[in-house]
Amino acid sequence: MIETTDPFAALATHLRIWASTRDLREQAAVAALIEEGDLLARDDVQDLLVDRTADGASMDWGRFESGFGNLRLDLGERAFLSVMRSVKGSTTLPIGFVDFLGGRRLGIVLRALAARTGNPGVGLVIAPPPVPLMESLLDTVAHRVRLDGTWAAVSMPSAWGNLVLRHLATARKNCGPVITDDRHDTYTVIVSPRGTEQWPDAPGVAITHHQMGDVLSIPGVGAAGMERWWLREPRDPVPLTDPDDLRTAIESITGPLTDTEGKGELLVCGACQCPVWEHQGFGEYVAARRGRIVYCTDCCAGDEHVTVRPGWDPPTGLLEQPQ
Amino acid sequence: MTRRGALADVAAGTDQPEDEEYPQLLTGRLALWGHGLDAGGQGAVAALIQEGDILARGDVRDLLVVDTGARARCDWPRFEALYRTTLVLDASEQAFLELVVAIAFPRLVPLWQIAALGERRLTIILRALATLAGSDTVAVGVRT
Repeated sequence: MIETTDPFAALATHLRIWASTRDLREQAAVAALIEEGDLLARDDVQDLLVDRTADGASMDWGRFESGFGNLRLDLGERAFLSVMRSVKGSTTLPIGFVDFLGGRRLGIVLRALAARTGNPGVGLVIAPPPVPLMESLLDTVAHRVRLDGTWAAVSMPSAWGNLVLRHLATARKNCGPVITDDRHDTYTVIVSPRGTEQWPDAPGVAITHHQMGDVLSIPGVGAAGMERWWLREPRDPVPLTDPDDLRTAIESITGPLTDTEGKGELLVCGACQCPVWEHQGFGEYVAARRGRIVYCTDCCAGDEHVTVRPGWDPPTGLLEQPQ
Repeated sequence: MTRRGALADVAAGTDQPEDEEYPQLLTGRLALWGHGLDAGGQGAVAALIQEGDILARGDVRDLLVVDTGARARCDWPRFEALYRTTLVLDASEQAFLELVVAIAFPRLVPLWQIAALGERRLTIILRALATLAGSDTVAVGVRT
């Protein structure tokens, strides 16, 4: 059994072990998928391609072939997976695929093609020179980058992150690129590299700092329909949010970051959009399409509120349900 | 000599115009022509020139190259239509030309044929694919 806390690392190790017993074509495809990382990390790709057992994992290319057409992929992702099908099997593909790969995936594909031919004694060096990381934000293809200190990032829950962005806008502060992640419900703000290191740990507000050396998934500029996409797209040159401005905006919502301990989770009232700490008490109900809705017991659970805010339409029985 | 003079020499059957304006080597004239092509055309011409051995064959040149003496170009459609039946090629040459033609003319490509290329031709084809992709950041070389 592989001992690791990172599920992707564990899967990659299992697949490498499995591929070591397979032919060169399969080894090349598996190595490329692991190196690319983003696609193999997707649940829908794993569901189609990966078979897990109690003590390992393998790939089912036949099932992948039959379901490949149903995956939601952008052009770069489709091109990459098409090449992998061709590397593993004997399918032909339009050579125009290379136009959509982007620099990082192109390097991986060329390495896979070289590995497939089985010239281990010689090998090929396919070495993209270091790209200034700032330019990587402008790539039109989704990719992962290891932060090199030219910028940093701060992730926060989108439930109250939109209030932070609104504060930046109303305070007329510069707001740089922002990534939204629909799967994890977070916003990630690209900030100047120095300034967030001194931020205190703030339990409850679920802020994540991405510093030099961390790996971050970056969506392609202009990509649509993906789980990660640019809420505010980067321009050239890329403006960065000032960490001090961002902290001020965050603290306008959360209060001082040094004073969040013991307050529980920070929630947002579904009616008046004010932040509500868990310890302050709140009510909730489950709406048919919006899921769990939280409302603050201070201002939004009273009859006056309903009368003064006609947009607030609590479901029948809501006011009898506060916890 | 002017261009008109060079063309007149060609019309008169002169094979090699003594003109400094045009490259004297066929590869130079092809490279000059290739510069004006799209990424695929550039990659394919560069691959042929880098490989060298195949382009050195008279039967390949007869089928592929239209050389006026002053200028040269590749006639890809004629070559693609005839090379499989006209030329005697080993597996590596066959795979190389198949891939080069596909790079010159975007079309379905049998990627598995790279297995027959051998190390040197593989390097050249991977470079051509990088050129086709418009990438100036991926370098392909042989590890020593």
